[in-house]
Amino acid sequence: MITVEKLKKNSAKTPADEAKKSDKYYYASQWSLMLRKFRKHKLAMVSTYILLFFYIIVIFGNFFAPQGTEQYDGKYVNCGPTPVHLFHEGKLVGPFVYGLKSERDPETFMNTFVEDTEQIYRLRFFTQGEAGGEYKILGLIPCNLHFFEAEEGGKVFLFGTDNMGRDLFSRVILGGQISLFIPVVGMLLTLVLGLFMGSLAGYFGGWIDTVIQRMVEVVRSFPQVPLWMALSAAIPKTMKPAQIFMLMTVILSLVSWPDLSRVVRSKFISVKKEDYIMAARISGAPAHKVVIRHMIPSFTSYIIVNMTMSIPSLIIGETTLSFLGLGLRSPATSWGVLLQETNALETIMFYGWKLIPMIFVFVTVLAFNFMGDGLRDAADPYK
Amino acid sequence: MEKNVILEIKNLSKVYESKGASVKALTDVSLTVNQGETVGIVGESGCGKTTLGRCVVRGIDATSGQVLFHTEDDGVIDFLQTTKAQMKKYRKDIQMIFQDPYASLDPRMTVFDIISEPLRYNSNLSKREIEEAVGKIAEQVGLNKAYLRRYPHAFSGGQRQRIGIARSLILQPKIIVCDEAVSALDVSIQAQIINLLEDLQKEYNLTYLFISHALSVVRHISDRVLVMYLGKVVEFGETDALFANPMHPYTKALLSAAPQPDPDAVIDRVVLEGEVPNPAAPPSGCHFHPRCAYKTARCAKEAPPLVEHGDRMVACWNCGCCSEAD
Amino acid sequence: MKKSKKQARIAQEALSIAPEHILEVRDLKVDIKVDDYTLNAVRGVSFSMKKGETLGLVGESGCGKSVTSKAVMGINPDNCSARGQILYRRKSGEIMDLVQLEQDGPTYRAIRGAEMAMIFQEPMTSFSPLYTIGNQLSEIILLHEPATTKEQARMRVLEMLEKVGIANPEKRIDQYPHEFSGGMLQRALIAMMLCCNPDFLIADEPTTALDVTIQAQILDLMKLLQKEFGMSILFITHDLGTVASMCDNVAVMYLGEIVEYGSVHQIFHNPQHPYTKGLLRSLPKMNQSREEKLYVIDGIVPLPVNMPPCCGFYDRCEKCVKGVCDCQAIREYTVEPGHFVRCVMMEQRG
Repeated sequence: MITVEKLKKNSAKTPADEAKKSDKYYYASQWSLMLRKFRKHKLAMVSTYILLFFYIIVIFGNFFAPQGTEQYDGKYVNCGPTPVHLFHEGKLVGPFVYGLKSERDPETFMNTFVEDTEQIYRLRFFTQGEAGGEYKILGLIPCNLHFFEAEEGGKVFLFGTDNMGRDLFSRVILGGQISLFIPVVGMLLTLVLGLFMGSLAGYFGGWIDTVIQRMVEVVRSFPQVPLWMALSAAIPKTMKPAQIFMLMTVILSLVSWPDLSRVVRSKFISVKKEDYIMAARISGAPAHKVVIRHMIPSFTSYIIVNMTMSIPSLIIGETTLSFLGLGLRSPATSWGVLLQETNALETIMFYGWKLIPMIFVFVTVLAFNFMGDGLRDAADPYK
Repeated sequence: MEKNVILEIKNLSKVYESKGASVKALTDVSLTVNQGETVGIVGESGCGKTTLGRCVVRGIDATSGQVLFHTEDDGVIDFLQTTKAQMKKYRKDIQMIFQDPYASLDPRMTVFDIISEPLRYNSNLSKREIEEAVGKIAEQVGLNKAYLRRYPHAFSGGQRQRIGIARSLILQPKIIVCDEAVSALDVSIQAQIINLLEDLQKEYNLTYLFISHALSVVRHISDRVLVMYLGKVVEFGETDALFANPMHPYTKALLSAAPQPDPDAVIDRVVLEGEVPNPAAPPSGCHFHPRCAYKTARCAKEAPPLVEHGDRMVACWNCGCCSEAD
Repeated sequence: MKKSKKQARIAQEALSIAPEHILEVRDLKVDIKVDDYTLNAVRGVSFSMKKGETLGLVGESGCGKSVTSKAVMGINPDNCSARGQILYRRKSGEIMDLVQLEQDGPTYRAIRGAEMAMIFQEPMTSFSPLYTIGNQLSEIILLHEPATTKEQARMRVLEMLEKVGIANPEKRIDQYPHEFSGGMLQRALIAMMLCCNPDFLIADEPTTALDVTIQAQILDLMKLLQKEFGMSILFITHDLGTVASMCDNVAVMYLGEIVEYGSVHQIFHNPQHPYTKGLLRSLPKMNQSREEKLYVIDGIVPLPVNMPPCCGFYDRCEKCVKGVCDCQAIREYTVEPGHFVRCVMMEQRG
């Protein structure tokens, strides 16, 4: 075991900044030590930044999205992504898009859009968007400021459009609002349930433990997807998206609390045997103080790790439900809904851009996993 | 000097029940401890010495027996059957120092919080008074006051053990149970801690129950020594007499097995055969008889009681059998 | 530790050690990379061992005794880098520099187990809980001597178990490690290592985890077996008592250096280095008056980071000479034949 007390002794021989560094280490709590270790995990740090970026974009989704969920443009159905250009015929113009011309393929009779290089529409930023419409910042402050849009008459579809002429880029952002927040809310619900059940089982033991353990086994022995399906099928189809959203989180957390409760229970049992718990009891600490001051803090880091690792499965869960048509439905949007709309061979053949939402699901899930890995490594004191 | 009894342990037993099997960790352990003395408790792993210590501080609940604590006002309370009020008042009088200086300190608390924690539960001192008390005790155990805001991970094993000692001392207890308090430390650090414990004892008139497997340390620090084997006391007596002339064959074997830091030490080693039996299924009669060179027929049938033999207590049917051989 | 084969071959050619020696370690240095800094765990250690000798490597935690022994065995983790020479005489008589050898290469693997074995403090972790003791022991024999049949191997295992004092070996051979007690397991581990008849054994705190009476049994057993098989033992421990009863020669280590080396009598009866003296005095002894206070070495062992080539003990030493001990490399002084001390005090004495 290396202690810094020892390190300090030699620090006189090392440069002064080294001494300062170790000095900080002395006063560092477990949390700051954990953070410091986490920072060294490059993949986890990159993932964290990616996730932060996603969440910020999504929170201010209506600002970044050029279109609202309800808007569509029948003229531009199944239009491919429109590239943003900087140069026109060798001259710097600044970001702009060309106009779009509709052409019919003479063999397949499919409608495709090509760029009309005659027309130039500059992109304007921070517009009081007419096209995007009004929205409320965080659902509170009315506003119609938009990050960007094309000049009057031009169309910019960064990720293309769907078969109703809705801008996919906007829908990915607005769908992210559901897909990225259902897991977080679901995780919080799971946390409450799992923590409660786990601490009951771990602290009291005996028959309470037995009952809860059997419950855990029952819930875990259901295959997950059919269970989701059964529960979701019970959601009335006439409900508002917001209510469906709530119910979906509840369903997801009802299925996922057993894992957490197991972790909490085993932690309780192992921590109970620690010498410092005994020391606190001998010094006269009442039971609830021992739990609050010593036991729960001793495994919060594990819980955080566990929760982070559980988010990906909740994201996949939401996506799966929506993909199966059991979650949200258009015009309400989530990544699952977007993927469900790609549920046809022609999409892959002709409209490849409609698979873009999949990339986001993929990246988010990976990023959460890497972040969880980093957190776990940082929280593990035996490394 | 008149000896004031401060602690009487009477017929203390502890049985661990688990899934049909019961393990007797302690069987009828009795001893009296005088104020200001150190009683060493020795034995090999599984002999019940740690259980004994933990039962005394009520870290675990004994199955039966009494731990009688003599309070200052000449009262006697059974530490195992106290009212809540008594417990609140007297718990602080019996404290404990743990073996593992790493596991016994909460890694999430600063040293100051660790040392002051017992005060929070047992006094209503103001913040400043707590700070003063902690500062004073830290100085006494040799901790730099400037380090109090640090976390345990910044300290070496010896330093951590000092923190543990400060925590157990802050309530000004009468009795401290030292459970292998120096066993995990390096030789040079071990000496520092032993001297510290001795100094503190003198200053506060502390009574120690010193649990250890290291015989030379026990011999150095203890006034009297209790030898345990498989949950039972086999011999109890004054340190010098016991080490010079062990009367129980097990004590003799234990003492002779202790390695001595002297290549020329003439050791008349009694090598015990076999292993310590499984405490879940102890041998009949005297637990030691399967490994004993002096066993008689009676040993296998009846368990010998702990009785007085001259200057000490021995539990052996053929008491002195081994010392006569000298 | 990795070098190209060609380089290694060139390096291996010109090696020679004294004929009676089995091992010569010359100026061994091991650095360990930890997060932000590099530990100079072993800072220039030299010693040699005769055939059949028991050398005790003693010191407190962090003195580098384990790292040294693992460097000999070639089992240090990847974040360690070793320099210097570890010259080892193989059974075939060939002399090899183990530092140049690839740790996981075929040569080193052939040496480990068959010629050089190691027993550890925790016997439990040396066995797989999934296989019987007999299985694990005969596997070693089959691995190193492919010519043996399974029946022959089993017979050998039985013989070995009996030799290390395990009662009822016919029954024990088919039991799993968890059915053995700590002492029995340590015996089984010794049997495992004897299976291949090594002539060099590294024992890393083999009795520290055991009870006193069991410890005595195991030490007796090791002495007995050493006589029978003529092994050399590198005995690593922090327990001076065990060293006194077990070793012929003792090397006292402090902060990655051997501060004193001598026969067990020289070290215990005529210690010269202030650290050795302090260590011996701070130990409670059975024949000492109980009133006497224990001698204390102040301070704690520092971490060997960015160590200047000076005496590691200077800041805890009562006899420290400022301006010498804390900045100069201290050479080795000979007290009498076979007794070396690394301390400036010897200079003043002439």
